Amino acid sequence: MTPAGPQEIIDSYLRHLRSRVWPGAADRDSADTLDELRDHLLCEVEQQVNDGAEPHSAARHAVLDFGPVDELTGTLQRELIRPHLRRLGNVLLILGLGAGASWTGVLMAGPPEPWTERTEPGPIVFFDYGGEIAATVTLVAAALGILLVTAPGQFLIRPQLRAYCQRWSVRACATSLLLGVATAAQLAGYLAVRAVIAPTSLAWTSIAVTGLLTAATVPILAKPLRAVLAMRPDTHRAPGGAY
Amino acid sequence: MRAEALKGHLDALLLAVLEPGPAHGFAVMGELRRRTGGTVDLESGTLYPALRRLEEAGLITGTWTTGPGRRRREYQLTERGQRALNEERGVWRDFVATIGAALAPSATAQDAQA
Repeated sequence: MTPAGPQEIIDSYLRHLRSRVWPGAADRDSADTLDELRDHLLCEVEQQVNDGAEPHSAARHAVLDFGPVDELTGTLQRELIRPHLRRLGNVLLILGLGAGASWTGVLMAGPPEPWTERTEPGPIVFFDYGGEIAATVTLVAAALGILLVTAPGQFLIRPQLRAYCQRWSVRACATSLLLGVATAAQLAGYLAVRAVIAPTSLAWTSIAVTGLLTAATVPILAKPLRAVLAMRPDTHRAPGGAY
Repeated sequence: MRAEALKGHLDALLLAVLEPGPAHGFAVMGELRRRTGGTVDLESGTLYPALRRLEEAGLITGTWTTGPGRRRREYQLTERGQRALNEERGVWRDFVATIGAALAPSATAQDAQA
């Protein structure tokens, strides 16, 4: 059996690293990172070959020297996920503010009759207030997520603080996202009730426009969300592999 | 010297290596090794996350160039990075002066030795 060539050894190592660092769909960022690491490994091989090493063993040595994939995965993920998290936090905050202002405007300033002429049953009122509280907490959580993931840049000499902030940033973004979904569900329920008590209200035109605009923002949110989810560690994957 | 021993100083070391001009990751590692006489031999897996962190903080910028038949990312110190490096140098000088003074043998100990 012919031994693997240097390029093959490096590619195999990078494939393994990629499958661990980006268990989800890999993006442009992953391609850039892997290109940079490939350049490093090839530089190492070239240097060793110039020093008289045989290409195959130079590649094996370069890969071993780079470090075990299991150890690298966590370190790389922690650094690479940060810009995606910040983007997600920014998008959540901007979209949350935009959607919140639009819907509040439509529902408050829309035609009052017969939209508000009937008294709502208690549980509906409860969910109305619940939705408003959830929407507010959503925005606060998104803002907190951004702050936590951005602020550590100022504390470069404190890696533990940085890691701590990052963990909380993930939680804040996740909370914001979940509450955003809950708010959307509450709004849908509110509109469903209005569809029964005020089916002919003129408010439906502006609601339809706002609804379409809100739906159009989903792809904007989906992009950074996909990037974050792509790096979600796969806890079911058994550690190990060739390296 | 392993990365753990460099905790808190790695960022400043990388900024210092990039001070003369742009360099790619492998060159940064080699230069750091050369400057320290081989004492600081970073693990490659430590270097790239650190470079990412510095870039994210706006202390360095990375640009893609064409290497020998492949893409290569080069890093350059930003103005903010230069300021941070100067600051780190000041902090380090103070630290060395303070700890050096504390660790220096006292006059009594020197007399006793004599």
